Amino acid sequence: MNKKMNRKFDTKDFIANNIVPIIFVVLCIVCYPIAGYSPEYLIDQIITRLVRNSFLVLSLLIPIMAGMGLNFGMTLGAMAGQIGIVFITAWNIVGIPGLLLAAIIATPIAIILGWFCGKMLNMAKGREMITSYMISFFMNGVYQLVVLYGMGPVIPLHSDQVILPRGYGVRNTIDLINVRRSIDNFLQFNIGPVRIPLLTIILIALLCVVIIWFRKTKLGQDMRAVGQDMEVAREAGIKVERTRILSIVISTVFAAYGMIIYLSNMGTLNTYNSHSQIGMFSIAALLVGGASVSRASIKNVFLGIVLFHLMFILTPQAGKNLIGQAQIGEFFRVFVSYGVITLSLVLYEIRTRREKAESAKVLANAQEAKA
Amino acid sequence: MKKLFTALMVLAVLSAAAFADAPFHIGVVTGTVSQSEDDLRGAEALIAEYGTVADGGYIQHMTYPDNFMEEQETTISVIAGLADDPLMKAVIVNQAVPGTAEAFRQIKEKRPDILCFAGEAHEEPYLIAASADLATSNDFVARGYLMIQSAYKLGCKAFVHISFPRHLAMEKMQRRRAIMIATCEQLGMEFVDVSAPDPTSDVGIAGAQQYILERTPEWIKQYGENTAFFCTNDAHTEPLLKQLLTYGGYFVEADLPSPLMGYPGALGIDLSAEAGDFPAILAKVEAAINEQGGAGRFGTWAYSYGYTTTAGLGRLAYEACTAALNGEEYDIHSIRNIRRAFSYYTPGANWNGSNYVEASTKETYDNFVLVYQDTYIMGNPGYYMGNTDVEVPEWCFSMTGKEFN
Amino acid sequence: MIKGKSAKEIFDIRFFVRLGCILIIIALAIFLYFYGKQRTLYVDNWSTEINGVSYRYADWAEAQVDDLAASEYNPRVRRGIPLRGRTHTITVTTEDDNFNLIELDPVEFRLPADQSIISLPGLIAGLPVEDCIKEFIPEVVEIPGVSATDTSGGEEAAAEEDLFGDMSMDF
Repeated sequence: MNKKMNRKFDTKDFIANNIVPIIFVVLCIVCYPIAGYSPEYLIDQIITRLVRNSFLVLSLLIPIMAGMGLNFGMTLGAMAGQIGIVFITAWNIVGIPGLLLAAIIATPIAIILGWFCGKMLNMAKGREMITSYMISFFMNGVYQLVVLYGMGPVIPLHSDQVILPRGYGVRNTIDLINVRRSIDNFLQFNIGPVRIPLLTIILIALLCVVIIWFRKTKLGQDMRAVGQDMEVAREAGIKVERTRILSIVISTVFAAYGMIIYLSNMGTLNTYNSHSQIGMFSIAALLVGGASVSRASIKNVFLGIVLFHLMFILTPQAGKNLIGQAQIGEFFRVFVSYGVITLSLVLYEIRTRREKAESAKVLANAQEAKA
Repeated sequence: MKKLFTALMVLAVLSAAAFADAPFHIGVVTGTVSQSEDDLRGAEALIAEYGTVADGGYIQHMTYPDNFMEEQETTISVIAGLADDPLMKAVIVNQAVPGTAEAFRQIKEKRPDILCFAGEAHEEPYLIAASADLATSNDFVARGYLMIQSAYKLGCKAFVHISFPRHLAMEKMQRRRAIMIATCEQLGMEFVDVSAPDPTSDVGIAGAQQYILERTPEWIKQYGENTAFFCTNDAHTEPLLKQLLTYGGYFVEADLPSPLMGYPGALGIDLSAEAGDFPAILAKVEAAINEQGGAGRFGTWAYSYGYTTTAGLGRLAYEACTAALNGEEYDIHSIRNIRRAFSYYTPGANWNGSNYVEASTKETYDNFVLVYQDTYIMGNPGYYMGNTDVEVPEWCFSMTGKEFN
Repeated sequence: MIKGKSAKEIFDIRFFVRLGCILIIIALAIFLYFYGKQRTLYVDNWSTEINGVSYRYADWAEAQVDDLAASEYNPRVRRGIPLRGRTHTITVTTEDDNFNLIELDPVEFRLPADQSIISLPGLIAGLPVEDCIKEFIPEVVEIPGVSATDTSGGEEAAAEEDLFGDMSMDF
């Protein structure tokens, strides 16, 4: 009888636990015929966005494993990646060698920024998400200072394409034509009208494998232990602080690589804005995929990117076709996209509370049985 | 119920039939009303003339996000998504916010036959010129010279340039300012650099406008009434006009000139009845200026720049596609054709333009065209300055903006 | 971490492996820097002066660098071409007054700088390629009637500073 009740709970639980992806699936199904895009176009777009964003979103997984919540500090990694890209564009290094060099330049910067962020987060245990969010804001100020005033006189860069005509400061937008899609176009093949960038997919698959393998290593096990309960882990002889810093450093470095892939796919760099929303969008995609603040898997990453970006592609057109005015479609998209993100955060809180209440009930029952 | 269904079916079939009417479609992407109303009105003018795709016409109108600097991916997918329509033959983006160049590249990869036009490019000139078939921008080179010339002709002794560091980090603004300084020196006028708060910073639009409101009377006192003012930011325009009207001083034209730029707010007039009808708008603004004692001191472009760019590029695309359909040749890069398309929406006002020349390398961009309209000075009666016939000296085109840092 | 460890413990095999890795990465970075570098060649059809002799622009010419698409050059046209590597060839075609095509032999050249400029009039006149190609230095333009350095700059800066001072009072 007990078993039967559990089964019943499961169906209900399934809906309750996956309400956000379910809402998104329903919205996408509703929007698809209204928008009227051809399936080839949609598949092509989704594959483009999958290869563009998955590296970034995957970089969020490790801090979640270490119990540090959603790492808004990945913006720091994105900044490091952008600095690498600015350098190679200024030096005119093209193609895959250029991107590789950008990654090499970005790595030490990302490590330093990640270490700094991890240190800060250790001082604010339990408030990691809001702290990392704020760190990304104030580091943005430092980034702007370096890029707007430092590049040129302090950091010697002389390139008309990158530096403003006045002699210092990086231009507002930088064209990445020299490295654009160079990873994607290498080993690319077509299935009908759909382009499959094999090398990028291999890179992403490699990262997935690394993450799966990483969970089984000593450090990965340590992180999970820290994520479960810091005090218990400390008593078990794990260096909690060090483990937490490492998880943020790894995340930041991966975010830097992710940003390089993202930008090379996008083809332009908005020097002062590209990174600012990256953290938000990546986290939103992960949440839409059914992840929560404390639990996320690779499956969530891909499902989330597909659903979240499908929404981005479909809603402007759907809104336009539904209401007739293009700008109302735009407002509709903003409302739905961000509304659902809020919903997923609220639902997480509700779920945690319910789980807590349930476990308390179980505990009470158990004690009653004992008595 | 069944009747209704049949009626719906008939409607659907009819609209589908009408859908097939237009032999090609033109995609138009602008900002929303809250971001850039003039551009959107231009798209509405096109729709009024050529009809929407939904009703079997030519125009498919879309908008890019309000915070386009952050949501670049959306901008790209909105623009590139237009290419999914097999009848799409031209895409116009005004204003061409960052991401337009990449979107055009994506369109070209799949559909090289689609004409891509960018109006008022925000991205660096070499960038947009590399991916668009045609990019237009307001002629910051010629206008730098002509605005000072106009001020001189109006009898001004000084020219006040109001801006802030973020704007001066843009190549356009920097080059225009350098040309202004040089022209002022040639004509023996005083050039004054003034910094005002950036409306996108923490003081906000209200703070920035307050600053202009408070400081303008002092500036007029300091430099005399025969001073022309110019501000690079749109938000500064309204309070500046308001104070100039009360305290004296001249205003040749705004950064992106339009009778709607600053004037309605500064004069306190309601133009909702005239939406999109520029001769009527101009007449009403002019009447208000004369009434409030500003005759002969205030200038503008008679037709809004943003409006004409959207509509003019749309017409150019329409003509080019029609010509292609009939197997005729049509040169979209010809400044003559561009002038003709733009003038169609601005009866009475002249246009002029030139190709963009990269200042440091002197490279000419055939597909990057700088345009400007004749300046209209409001008064009783108002008159055109005749700026489109003034020859702009060659040295203007080779100033880089580095000269006066 | 380092505390309480002897020098021997720090400089163990692990340290050297790590140092080696870092050195390899730096070497890779340097290699990538030179391998991936792209240089710009400006092909120029303006009138020019080489070794004291003036050469007038060609009325019409067509130039092809390596296997890239050939492009036409009208008088006073300059185009930038991005190139990877140092050694390239250029093939120039021009015409005489009677519109007869003259094809010049392909010439091989080495790019002297990151930005180089090659003069078509010089090549057409038959000069050796080394004389026609030189580093591209953007020109400084002289404006008639205006001194290059702004004399009133100091005052402006002072005025600006003054304004910022006031601004902080206003808000």
